[in-house]
Amino acid sequence: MTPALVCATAEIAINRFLRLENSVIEDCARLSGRIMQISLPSENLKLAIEFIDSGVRVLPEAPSAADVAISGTPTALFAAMKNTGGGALPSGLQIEGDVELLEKFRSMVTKVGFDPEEWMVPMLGGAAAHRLSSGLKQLFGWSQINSKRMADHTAEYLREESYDLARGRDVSHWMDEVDRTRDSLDRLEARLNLLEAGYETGGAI
Amino acid sequence: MSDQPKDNDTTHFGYQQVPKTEKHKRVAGVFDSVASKYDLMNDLMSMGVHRLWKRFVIDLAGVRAGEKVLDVAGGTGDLSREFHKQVGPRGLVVLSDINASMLQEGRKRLADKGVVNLPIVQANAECLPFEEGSFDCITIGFGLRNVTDKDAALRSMCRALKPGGRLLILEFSKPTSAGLSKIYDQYSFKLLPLMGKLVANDEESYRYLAESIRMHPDQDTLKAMMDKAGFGRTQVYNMTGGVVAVHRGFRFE
Repeated sequence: MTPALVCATAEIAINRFLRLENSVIEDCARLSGRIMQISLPSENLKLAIEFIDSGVRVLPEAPSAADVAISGTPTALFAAMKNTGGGALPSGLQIEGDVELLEKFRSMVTKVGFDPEEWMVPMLGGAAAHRLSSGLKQLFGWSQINSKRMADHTAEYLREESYDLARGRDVSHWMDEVDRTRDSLDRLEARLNLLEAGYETGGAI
Repeated sequence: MSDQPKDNDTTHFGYQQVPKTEKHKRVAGVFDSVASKYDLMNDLMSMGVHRLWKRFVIDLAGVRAGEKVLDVAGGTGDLSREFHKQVGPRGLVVLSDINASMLQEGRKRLADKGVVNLPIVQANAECLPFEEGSFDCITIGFGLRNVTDKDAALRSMCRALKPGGRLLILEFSKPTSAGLSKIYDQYSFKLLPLMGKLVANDEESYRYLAESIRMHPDQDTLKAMMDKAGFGRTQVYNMTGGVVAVHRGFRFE
């Protein structure tokens, strides 16, 4: 069973996030009593999220049958919550039950959005929060660009210098050749079958 | 007929059995004595960790702007002050305690922090003087173990909650590991009264605090009591290895 403190931490975090947008709490109230069960088998975690008037309640076990049960990896679950712009659910998630409830929760997450500056204002004040938020955004942007650049350079080295990786067009060419060889083999096999059949019956080919 | 009190007319006061009618006076005596040094002693006894325990209760309570909160046995008003910020001008926080000395100390501390418009009520948790369904959230921090009739107090708090409202009980409880339990025993029966003697010049009161913690129901028993009193979705959150536990339950009807 998931430790109660993990549930409490999850509940506090989710509620703090949802309460950034008042209309989302009204949405929660409309769904009051409905339950989503989330399982992360890789982490041996299972918890139930029950909608209540003031947000959500997170429990180690669903108090009654869950309306929707979601199971998958933490990455897939995170991706499902991150890409909430009406896109499809990521692969690697198993969903049983009322998918609409999950979609409603995803739309709540979209409605709230994520603005780090808003989170920092009560702690640091407006000006400092703005500066820190801008700095962090620049830092993350720089990290992302550099990570992508490093991945590109590594791939290029492995393709062009060490020849450990094949280039895309070489792989495509090789696959075409394999297809062509398979087709030739099939034709040869058919031809041989025909020859054998003619030999057995003594007829002309 | 004998004048001796029957077993069901007595209750524990620390490790002593005293008539139920007397416990109230004795507990009042303890808190009259420790009121002025209460917060300082809390900091010393818990090495400051009591602030984290209270922070957890505040976060778990999830109080929103406009809500009505009752802080039972609120004493020096730590929880009330935080809830006061959270409920905002549209909400209401009531600080209540059975002990006048503690409330006086609480009023003084709240005023020092600039909180002056908060109602303060001297009330017994067993029979709270509020209409049924008055509050969205009730908390009782380190107070339930001093209540004579805990079942009555739980019923009374349940009655004062609105349907859907929650009760959070922060209280000392039973350590979950035997090793910690031994260390904790040594600490609370030897070091704690000594600190009480040195800092508050009151060894007996702090011995009572240690004894009252041992006599308080453990996690599962208190959870069962809450369920019996009418709470639902009751959950227990152990902290610091079970030295302290938060019980949370909701009123459903």
